[in-house]
Amino acid sequence: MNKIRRFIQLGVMFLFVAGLVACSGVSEEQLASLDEMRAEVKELEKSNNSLKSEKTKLEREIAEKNSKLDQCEKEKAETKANLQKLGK
Amino acid sequence: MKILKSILMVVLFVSVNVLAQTKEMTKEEWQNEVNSLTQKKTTLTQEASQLQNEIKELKAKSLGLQSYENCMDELYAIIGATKTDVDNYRAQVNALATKIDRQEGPKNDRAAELKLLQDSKISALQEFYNKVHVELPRKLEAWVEPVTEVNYTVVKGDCLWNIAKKSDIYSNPFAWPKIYNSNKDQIKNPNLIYPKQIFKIPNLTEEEKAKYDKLKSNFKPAPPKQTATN
Repeated sequence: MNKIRRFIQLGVMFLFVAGLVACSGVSEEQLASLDEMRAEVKELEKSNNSLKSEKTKLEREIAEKNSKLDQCEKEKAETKANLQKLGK
Repeated sequence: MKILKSILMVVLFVSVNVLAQTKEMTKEEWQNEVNSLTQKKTTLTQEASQLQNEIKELKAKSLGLQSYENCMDELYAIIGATKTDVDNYRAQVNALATKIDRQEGPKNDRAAELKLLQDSKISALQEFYNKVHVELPRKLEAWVEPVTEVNYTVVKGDCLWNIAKKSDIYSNPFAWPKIYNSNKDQIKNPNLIYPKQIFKIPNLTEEEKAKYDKLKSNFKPAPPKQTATN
């Protein structure tokens, strides 16, 4: 009978320790603020990715424009040279 | 009793495991994650600010660049044409190139068309220059038109000069030696030809045509004779 009691005592102690462990965590509010921060970081990452895409797009557009302009300037120079060759 | 003890041990073991798995975040872990997220947020915010500045600069740079259309307008201004003129010219060049490739005669007409295209300032555009001034003339030169011989029957009052001058013959009186040389069996003296003689009129070669055209263009008629007045 004593042994049964001892086991029951052990069980109660275990539950107590488990409860103690469970209660030593963070509060719901803290968890909520953490989630909020995670969401903010995620949003910032998303926004930065979008900005990076916009930057890449602009860089590409400028490079294309520059390439076209270079081609046009080259053609202007060649045309002037051709006109001279033709004596016009 | 031993069985009871064993059961209790198993329950204890399982409970500890379950607790370990469902264990909530400790304050230390929470703090660590908060610190990590704060740092990340700061980095990301700085990065965003930098990206926004770079985008602003790129937009300004893009706006500052000359537009391609303006550059093309300047190019067309050099040759005194508009985009429409250039488009039309391109169509003409392509049409002529097709005709020359297919050897759609008469060759002289094609040569005249090419000359017109070559005379245009638009031909100085790099897009056309090589084609109009090198490629097409070369093809035209390589185009050998089959010789078609025409016969001409002399009528009263004809002379070789006047026969060569006729538009359906050579349109150039200076080309009369060609008729003479081709009909030497019938013409003993080029100044003497007779009605009903039938002469062969061969096509002029490009060289001959150029030679006689040059003679014609260099020809200056003698000034009218001055008559003595009292």
